[in-house]
Amino acid sequence: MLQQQPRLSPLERREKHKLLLHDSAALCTLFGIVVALSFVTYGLFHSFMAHRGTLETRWRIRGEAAMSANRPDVAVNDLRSALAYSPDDRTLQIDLATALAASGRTQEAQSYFTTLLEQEPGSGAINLQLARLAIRQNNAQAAVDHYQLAIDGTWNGDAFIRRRELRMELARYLIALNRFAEARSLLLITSGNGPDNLPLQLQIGQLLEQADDPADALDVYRKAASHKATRLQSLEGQAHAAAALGRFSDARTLLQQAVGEPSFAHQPAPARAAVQSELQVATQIAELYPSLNLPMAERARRIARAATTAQARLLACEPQPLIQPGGQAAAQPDAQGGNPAARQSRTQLLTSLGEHISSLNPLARKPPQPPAGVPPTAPPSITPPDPLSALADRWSALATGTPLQRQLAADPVFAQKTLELVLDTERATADPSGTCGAPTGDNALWTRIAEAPPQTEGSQP
Amino acid sequence: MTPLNFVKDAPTTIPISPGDQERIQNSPTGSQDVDLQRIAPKREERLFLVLSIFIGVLSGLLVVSFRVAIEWVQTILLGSAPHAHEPRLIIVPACAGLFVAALVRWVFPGARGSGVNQTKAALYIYNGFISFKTVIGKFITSAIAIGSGHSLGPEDPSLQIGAGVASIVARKLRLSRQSLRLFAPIGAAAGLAAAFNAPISAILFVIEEVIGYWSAAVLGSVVLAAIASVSVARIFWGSAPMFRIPTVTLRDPRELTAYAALGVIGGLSAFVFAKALSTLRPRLRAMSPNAQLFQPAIAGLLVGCIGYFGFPQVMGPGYEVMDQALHGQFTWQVLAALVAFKMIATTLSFSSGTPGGMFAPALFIGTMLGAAVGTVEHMLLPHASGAVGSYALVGMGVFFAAFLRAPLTSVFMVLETSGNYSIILPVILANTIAYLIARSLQPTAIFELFTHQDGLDLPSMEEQREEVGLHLEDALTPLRVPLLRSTESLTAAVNQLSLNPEERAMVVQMQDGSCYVLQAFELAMLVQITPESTTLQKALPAERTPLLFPDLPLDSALRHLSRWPLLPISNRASKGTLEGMVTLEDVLARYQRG
Repeated sequence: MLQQQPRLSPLERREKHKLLLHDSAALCTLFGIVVALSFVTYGLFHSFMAHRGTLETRWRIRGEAAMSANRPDVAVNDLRSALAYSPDDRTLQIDLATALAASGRTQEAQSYFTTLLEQEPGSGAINLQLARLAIRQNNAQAAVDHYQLAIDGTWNGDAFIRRRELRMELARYLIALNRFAEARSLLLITSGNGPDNLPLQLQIGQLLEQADDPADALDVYRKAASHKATRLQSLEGQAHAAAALGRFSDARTLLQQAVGEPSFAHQPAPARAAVQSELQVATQIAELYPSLNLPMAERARRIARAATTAQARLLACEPQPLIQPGGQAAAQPDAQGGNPAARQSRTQLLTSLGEHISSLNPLARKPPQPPAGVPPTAPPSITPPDPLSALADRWSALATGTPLQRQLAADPVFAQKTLELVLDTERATADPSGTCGAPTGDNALWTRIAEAPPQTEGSQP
Repeated sequence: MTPLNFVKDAPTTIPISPGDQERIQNSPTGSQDVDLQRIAPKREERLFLVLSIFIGVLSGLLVVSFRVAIEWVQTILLGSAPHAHEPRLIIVPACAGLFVAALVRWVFPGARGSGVNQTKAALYIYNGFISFKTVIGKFITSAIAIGSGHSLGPEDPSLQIGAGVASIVARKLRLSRQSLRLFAPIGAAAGLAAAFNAPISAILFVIEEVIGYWSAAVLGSVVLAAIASVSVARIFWGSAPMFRIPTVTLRDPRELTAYAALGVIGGLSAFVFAKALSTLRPRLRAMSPNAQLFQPAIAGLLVGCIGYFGFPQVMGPGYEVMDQALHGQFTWQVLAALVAFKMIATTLSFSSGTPGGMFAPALFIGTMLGAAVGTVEHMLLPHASGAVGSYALVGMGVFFAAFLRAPLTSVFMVLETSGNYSIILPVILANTIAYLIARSLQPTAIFELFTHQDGLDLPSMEEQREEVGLHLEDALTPLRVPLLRSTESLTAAVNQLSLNPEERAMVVQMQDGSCYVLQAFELAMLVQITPESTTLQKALPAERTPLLFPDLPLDSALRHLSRWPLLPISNRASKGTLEGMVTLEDVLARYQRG
């Protein structure tokens, strides 16, 4: 129903018109105020925003400069200030977290990076930083996991290069952890992804060597050697790998080639000296080694000489204290530092063996006599096998009454058996901190031969 | 009671200048209302919505300017990035404190305090009057105080600025006193919405804490104003929430235990903070006016010392620090230290009477608490806990709910700020626990406590919310008078009355279930003019007693009891079934019982 309008007097009508005018004017004024205030606010706001932009740039530059100057503490403050003006800047956030990590505020950095990762779980850069923090906190598994996530993660622009660098970094870390198999896989993937990158190939070769994979290292070096720019380095690398494989003759040849390279003369003196030294070692080993390619007489001569060297090394060793089931030493070391019972037992064996060998082998030296006055005692009833005594037994068993060199030349199986005994002896006495002391002279060379992988034996020249 | 009486009785703690007193006296009166109502009865109704939008836009612009002003002041006075061990961190807040105290004392006496209680006082004591000078004063003094590093926030001043704008606009348009009262909360919602960039939270806060009730008349205007102001603010600041919210998830239901722990810690912390404020503030206010002049300076000096010696984060509102905590950039030790020092700094700044709000400090403390709990949880159970940001966000709501006693606002604030509904469960759980703990430890809400300290007696919104209204069922008694069917004759009614001569009335129930209360004198009249065999249905007039149910408010019966000596109360589910009756005596007796 329509409401009836009250009848207004002329005065009231005039008042009503006045009121309408007043309201219209008031609303127009209000509108004018809104427009004016909008302009003022706009000006104020934009001047401030421009100023904020300037401040953000200033603090960012300062932060980056501080990081470059290796002053992460200062960089943290500067980057934090920059972030206050540009809180959504991803690069700044990562820079700040990196600065926190660099300044030793590991927990803060970890917390920061974890939060950043929650916002961007696939970020390669954040995972990389978390991996490095995990290394710092000795959390190997977390580090490896984050490295893997970083490799699989997203990168801006240079993703291919970053992933390659990451694989190398992870491979180095795995090598440090002695996780060689995983490191080798990564290195081979990296090598396959960048076949034309020669410096990288050289690095991969070196890392493969460290990862106990000289065979693959040798392949990688060979590929790199086909390019002139890296020929010298790749020859040196190949030589190292060949030596690690026990292919000392190859190593000698490669090192000779490296020394013959024109660029070798431009190498720093210490590097040249190191190569020369390696060449000398490789040459000496090649002269010592009884290769199957040698005439039988020469091979027999070299094995006989090796046998003498090995026996002398074994004889010089102090025996291990014998352990009884109760866990205590069976007998106290005597004045010479050895266990009297074991010493006497082995001395007797070696004496007879030495005498036998010296009678048969003109190259053999007389082994040192055991100390006099050691009363013979029975060996302990229950003792673990002494590896050195076992070797001595094996040496003793070799004695057949026939002159050694002649027997070696006549019987290739005996020669091989003797050579294996030599290698076992050198291997068993190789530990420089053991009772035998550090190997020197020919022993040192034979130790290297002994520690070379056996499967490469057949490829000796 | 005239406005003059209000002003005369008003305590000195909400200072009103003589000019303002005169303006309050000249504000629209009842007589003016009558004139305007006669010549333009629909005027105010039409203006209301238009003005709400204008108020929203103006408030939004002013709040944006206010925030920019604070940041300019901060950049100019404290530098672009204040760091510890800078001497100006001590000098600037102290000098600014002295300057602001002088301005408040001699130029802008209405600018003192946070703004929430002042707005409530304007609403309930001064008929919605907030002077232009108060608005300007609040803008300038708060901008200087907060920008110079006092540990206060801009939200409460924004609320008062918005309310002030609304008050000015309503006065200039000569709106009625009733409209003037309604406009103040509309402006308050607009100001707060622009400051928070969260319209729902602002609307809820104003309804929860300022108005105290839901009214359809105000709600539409409040919503319009809030949306208008937020739209303006977003033109400048962008539509992004106030904080950059990280991914918030509830990873494992067991995490709720940690959130419950956060609720407990939040409730206890809110109690400690409220206790510190309620203890220090009256002591400082009891000092002489000259001593009070130096209080903001001393507070500034002490807050500056906190900043100088390692925690500049506690200075100012600290939004960027909250943002950093939301993104897990601090260790739990730093977060715990920030909680403690922020509490101290805010207690000093606020108790000294420096203009500025409590919202931002409350949010700051809550965020740091939440982040600290989240960080510890992350350390202990790395695979079972969500992001630190989730805890920080929930912590923000927890402390807000416990300290400001606005549980509904706190829940919506978190949801609105995060834009993520999945966090609702921990928010509700933690907020409720914190709210209940804080309430049991300190029954009086902090703003109410301040009003009592100021000698005011403003209505407590928390009490209002929980007030249990009386209903008809509370005064209901069994039917004590005869009940007749409408099909019965007048003779039956006469007989019934003769059987119970002390009864002065009876209830006649019609076939449609409606009732008529027939009084003895009416029956006597009817018998004289109508044959006794006539049915009651035909004999009685068409008028019926109102249909009342037991769950209706008790006062709904009062206006009918002048016409009817008693009122039958019907059952809602079964039409025609009477639950009982109420009389005026029953109602009054129930009210007297309380």
